[in-house]
Amino acid sequence: MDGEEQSVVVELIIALVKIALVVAVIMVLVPFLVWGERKYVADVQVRIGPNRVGPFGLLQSLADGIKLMFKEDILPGHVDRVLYFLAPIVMMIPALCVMAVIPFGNQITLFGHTTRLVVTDLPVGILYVLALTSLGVYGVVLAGWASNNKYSLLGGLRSSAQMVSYELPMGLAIVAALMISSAKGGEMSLVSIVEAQKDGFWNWNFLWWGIGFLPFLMYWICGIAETNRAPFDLPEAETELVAGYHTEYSGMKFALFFLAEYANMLNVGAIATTLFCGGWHSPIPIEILPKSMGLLKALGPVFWFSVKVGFFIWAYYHLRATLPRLRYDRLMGFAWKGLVPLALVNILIVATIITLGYREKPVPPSTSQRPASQAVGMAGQPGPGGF
Amino acid sequence: MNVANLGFFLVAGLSIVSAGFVIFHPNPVRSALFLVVNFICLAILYLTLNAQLLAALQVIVYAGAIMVLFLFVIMLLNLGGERAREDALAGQKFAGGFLALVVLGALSVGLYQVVSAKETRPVTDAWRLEQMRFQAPPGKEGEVQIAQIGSELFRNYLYPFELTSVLLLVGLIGAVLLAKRRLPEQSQPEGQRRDRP
Amino acid sequence: MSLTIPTHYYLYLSAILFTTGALGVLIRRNPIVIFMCVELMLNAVNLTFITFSTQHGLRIGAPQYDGQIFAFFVMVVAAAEVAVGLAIIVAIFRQRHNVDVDEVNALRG
Repeated sequence: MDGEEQSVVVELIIALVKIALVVAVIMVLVPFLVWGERKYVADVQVRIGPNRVGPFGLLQSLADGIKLMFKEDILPGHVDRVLYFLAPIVMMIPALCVMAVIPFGNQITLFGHTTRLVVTDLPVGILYVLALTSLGVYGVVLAGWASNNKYSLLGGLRSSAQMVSYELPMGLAIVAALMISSAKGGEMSLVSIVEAQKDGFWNWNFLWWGIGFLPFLMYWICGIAETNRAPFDLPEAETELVAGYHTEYSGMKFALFFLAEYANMLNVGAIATTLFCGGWHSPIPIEILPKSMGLLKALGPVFWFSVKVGFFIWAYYHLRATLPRLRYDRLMGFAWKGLVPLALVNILIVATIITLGYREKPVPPSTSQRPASQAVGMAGQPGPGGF
Repeated sequence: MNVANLGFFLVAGLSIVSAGFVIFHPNPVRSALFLVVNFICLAILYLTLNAQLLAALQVIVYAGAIMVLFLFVIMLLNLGGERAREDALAGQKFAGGFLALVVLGALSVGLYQVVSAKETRPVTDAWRLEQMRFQAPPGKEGEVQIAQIGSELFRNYLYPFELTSVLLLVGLIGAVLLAKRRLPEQSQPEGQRRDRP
Repeated sequence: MSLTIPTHYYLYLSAILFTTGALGVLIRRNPIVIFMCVELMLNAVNLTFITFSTQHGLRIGAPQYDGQIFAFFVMVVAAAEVAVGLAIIVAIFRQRHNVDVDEVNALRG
């Protein structure tokens, strides 16, 4: 084994560790997110919420998970078997794959190996995200169709229309974000987008000339619609459709839908953080920790990233607790008559500002912007290498 | 036979099989899903051809939007399989199969003549595939490519580009007009959903 | 070990997919499936475009994107076509609750 092959093996191991870390964090986090949501919504509604299992009911979701796992695996007689089994898997895979390109921290050095805290920094990362989110709809549609049940079918129909409709303004909002980012020297990889927003919160994209707030808000609204969360949770509206597309699901398959929904929430929060809120950067660029505390210092960006994603998760909870569900025609009208024209106008304004000669500051080409990604960040791509 | 060829044959074989299922499966929903598989296989092949942008667009536009629209309409109309009955045209399937064979034969003969005429160059120098062996790709290939396609599109192809935008607008209006309910007494607020193209 | 794929493999694959799509158009009666087969044919053509684009770029030593841009235009046209086509199918279905292409033979609604 010569030196080159050895470094290849090391890169492979680092990549695998990062993948395992990301998947494990999501899987461990989801039960606590469910618990947090139940507690928060209960608090808003002046109830207590789960409080029996563990301190503050913290282990409630764990208990629920165990229950779901040991439940009888019911296969209703009238379903389309193959698609019925396939639907939760199809839902889960894109939700997990999106996480691969999201940078959750700056570089970290462990055991003499410096690596970036992102599974892989694709040069066309944002397109990868869009492609995978657009595949997420199949899980819902397949579940609705395979269940062979009127409520499920209606849920599937609603979600297919809703998700396709909201993908459009979401894509346009991302276009605006990319334009803003490119004016600051960023590119299409998510790491470069984050790095273009360094040095304080006033450089974050959502504060860009006072107009950056618009695509941010639009992305956020569309993200809620894409994850089928309240107030856009019509595919599973329990008062109208029993449970929508997962009416016929129980046990572990239902748990997968649940996991995928929360993983998607995390994705939307993480992408909003990356595109608009400075990613892992701290709001104020002050070095508090001395250089000697290397590892702790490297974990600072992870902390800031988590805080920002946590804010978005809180916003999800709060919206669910406070807003009523939209009527279906209002939902579609909002996307097509409200968000799409607004997004187009927004792109026009951003383009005008950029064309009129606005540049953040002169960026020396490829020396300060992406020093590390060229050195290490992109080397450890597992699998076919993607884009 | 090398690793790259093996990978190609796997993906190509999957795409051909799924295309076969698209046309032979009686259930339109299954057909649509097999078509999605086919599109994703093609996206992978675009990657081996070093066309990252097109691969992403293939998944976003075809798999993410067009096929969802197909599924939406199939589910909305609740179309089952075709009813087994006599063909309106006698021997339609036989004639169709024969014609398809003729087309395939013609294409293959033409291709074979080109291929045998001169030695073909390998299309991918396959640094993309070598990336499977964990070598850093040369620079930021994907981004450079997108930027170049963009500038090409807005310089040399500006006129067709603007025309396609008009085409899309016409398609949008046409779809709204066609799918709209005609009778005034039936025009209920829920027609909103069908106004979408 | 050379990791290369010859160009004509892609072209043969494209020919096979195109023929499959054409066969589907000829033998199926469900207009939605026929539409899907048309999409299949368009995709086969796209594959050819992109193959030749890459091939041309390799031959002259600088990447060429004309073929990819053509494929891009094909995608746009396909999207517009699907929108209108599916709207027509929905309209026909609303008229006669049956969309078999053999039975749709009247131009008036």
